Amino acid sequence: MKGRIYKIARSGMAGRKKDTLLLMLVIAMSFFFTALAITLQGSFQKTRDAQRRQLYGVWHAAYLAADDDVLRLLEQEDAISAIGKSYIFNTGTDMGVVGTYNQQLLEMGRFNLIEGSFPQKPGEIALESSKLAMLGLAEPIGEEISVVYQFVLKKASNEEMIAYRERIIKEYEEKLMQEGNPDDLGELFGSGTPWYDGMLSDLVRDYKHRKIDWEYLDNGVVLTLSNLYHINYFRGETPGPEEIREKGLIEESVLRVTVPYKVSGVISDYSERWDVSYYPLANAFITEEAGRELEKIIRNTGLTDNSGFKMDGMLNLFLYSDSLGEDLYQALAEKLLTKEEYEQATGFNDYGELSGAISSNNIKFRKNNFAYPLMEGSTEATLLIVILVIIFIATIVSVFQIFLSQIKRRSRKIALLKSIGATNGQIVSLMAWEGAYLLLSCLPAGALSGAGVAYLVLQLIRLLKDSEVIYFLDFQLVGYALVNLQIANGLISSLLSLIIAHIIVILVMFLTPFGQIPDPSFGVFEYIMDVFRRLQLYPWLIHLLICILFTAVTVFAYYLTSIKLIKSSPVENMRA
Amino acid sequence: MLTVEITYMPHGQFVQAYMYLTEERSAMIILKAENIQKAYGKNELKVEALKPSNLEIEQGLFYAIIGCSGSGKSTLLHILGGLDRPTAGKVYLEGKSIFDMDNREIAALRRRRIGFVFQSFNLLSEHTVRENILMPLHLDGRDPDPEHFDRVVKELGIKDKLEFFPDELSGGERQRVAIARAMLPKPAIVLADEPTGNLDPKTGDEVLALMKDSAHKFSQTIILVTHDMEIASMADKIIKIDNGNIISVTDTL
Repeated sequence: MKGRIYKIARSGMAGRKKDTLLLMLVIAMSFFFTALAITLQGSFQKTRDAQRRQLYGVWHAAYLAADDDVLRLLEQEDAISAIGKSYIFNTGTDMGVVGTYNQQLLEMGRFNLIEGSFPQKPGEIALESSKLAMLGLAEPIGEEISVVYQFVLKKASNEEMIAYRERIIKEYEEKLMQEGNPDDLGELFGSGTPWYDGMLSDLVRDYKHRKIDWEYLDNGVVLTLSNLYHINYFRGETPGPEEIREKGLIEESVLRVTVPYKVSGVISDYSERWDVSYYPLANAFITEEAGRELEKIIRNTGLTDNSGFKMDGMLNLFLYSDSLGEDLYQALAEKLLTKEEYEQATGFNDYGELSGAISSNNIKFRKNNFAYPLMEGSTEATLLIVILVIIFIATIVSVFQIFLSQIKRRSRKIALLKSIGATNGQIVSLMAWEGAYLLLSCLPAGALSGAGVAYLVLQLIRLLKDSEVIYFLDFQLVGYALVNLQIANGLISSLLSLIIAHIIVILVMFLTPFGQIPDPSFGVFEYIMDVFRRLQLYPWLIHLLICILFTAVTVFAYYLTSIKLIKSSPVENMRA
Repeated sequence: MLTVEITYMPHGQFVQAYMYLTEERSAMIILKAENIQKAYGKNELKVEALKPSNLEIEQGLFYAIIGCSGSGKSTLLHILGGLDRPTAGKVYLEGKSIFDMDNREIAALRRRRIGFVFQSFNLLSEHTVRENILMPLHLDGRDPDPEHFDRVVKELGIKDKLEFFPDELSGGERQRVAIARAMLPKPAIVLADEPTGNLDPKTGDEVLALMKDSAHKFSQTIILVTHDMEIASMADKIIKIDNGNIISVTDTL
């Protein structure tokens, strides 16, 4: 039975070719532009995202200035699928920071290798391009450079220095009191000077002595230990170096390790861009083995007892999660951060209330906000919805126009079919099949050509701008939009049916003095707009449910209006 | 019909037996209208298109309803065919009251038992002649008997026009298509509303002759509305109507 009605609908549409083609063109065009707009927007969005990730790395979270304990803790987290490790070593020079790398870091970092390769052997190094000028390297690959690492083994604080000075004064004062030798005072201040508190501190003198020790290793590595000694003295004589070393305070002890490297590659600058606050990132990369060797050299140096040396606070960890993605940070934050840090990092306190400024976030465990911004593309999404609404309105107007030109014929056809014995159900299904045929034949053609043209446009942009553009066909979004458009078309038909019904009823009123006028009861336009607005905001399931519900309502409305239309197309019309 | 009549006496004696044939066909009433009336509007504006009338239509005859414009002849025809609902009264087709049926039953009746032919042809312009003719059968979920189909289209002279669209045909041809559409489901009754009104006299006569001929062949009842006495004279019986009143039902000579 359905098959027959479908056949009648199809042959009828084939019979009025011009009208059908026009309708198909309009509907296909609306699908075409919908697919085009969404695909272009989606592709631009994807391209922008990709470019952003190229700039800022794809890692989701980072733990900076960490130590091996943190590493062990993170290695136990199932949610983390990869950890990019970098032990960093300061060079007290413009060379900045040299760090090790592992394969995971390379993958997450999206480093742009300008020339050469990453170091493969301990003696190799890859530099950020901005360091080349500093080193005066024009043809860097293969050049030998020396990197001077600087480790401050000890540095006396101000408080220590003051305490030392006061101890010296006190000792001297006690000595004076015990010995009671006034000559000393006379010698220092001139005879007859009365005693007053603090007079000794005016007399104390600072003496400094620096001693540098050397150590040469076989592989060209040079270690220097530079100790700065400090002593306070009262007597007019200058203390000798041995005396200063023996009795004085070590103000500063710096170990410098000079290591020769061969430049293996140059990468684009990245360290200034990444979202790491003031934490240092490696400006040059060496292998992990080279890092371990360096650590060993520092620990085993014969210049001083340095066996307790640890890489604490010199480990940068970059985390990537396949399962959680950007939500990784949120999942780990509560575990890794203190309450204060958590509030500062998230802007929310324990009770989920807004706690204050999120601004100055210097916390070691951090999110890659640059690569995965919170407010992503909301302007573009709004623009897309505006475009879709415009397409939608244009479709309504065109379809309306075409239907208007067919009203007389359509209402006549209904009356005629009834006179030769069509039931109401058959007429409803005939009209429904016509609609379905239009939509189903236009949807694939329109959507595919839209996606295809979007592809061509992107190719053109690629050629003209000579830049990489990603083609991205968001099936889900295109699907949603098309389903919504289809619903919209269904609604148009029902609205139009209602209008047709009105006109027919008015016509009937001329024939019969009293006719029934159905009430227009559609506030649906706002509803469609609403659904379109929610397109971006609702999870897919809710959206799908809205679509299904809405389709059901539409079908019901369509059915009701069709019935109304049929009822108000009496066979008496045949007389006209 | 074969009737056997046997007469017995009170004491069981057999007296006589008759056997006779009656021609039931001529006496069978296929369509019966009881006290039908149709009015439009209410109170002062009330227009009585059809005043209370009774009518009996015998099977197999050709009726012509004749009257001047606005006399109610079309209203009568539409009520008889179930296209228009009377204000009061009942219409029985083959013994069943058609206005007591639901929409579905009336639709089935229109597909199977009643054929309509209109002055303005009323063909579906987007369907071919073949599709137009087959439409009532298709709506009924049936396929035509090919032999019968061939016979009808041959009879009506449109066999070579089957794949044309109605707009490509002349008026006479279109009306013949409409007749074929009305005749094909073998309806018991064919209602025609001035079928020759839009045709020139010669074509009109041809169309009428075809209708009458095919109705005779398929033993169908025809009720035809006209204001032309000459056309009416081709009918078996003439129903005269004036100002909503059925004046007379008379045999033609």
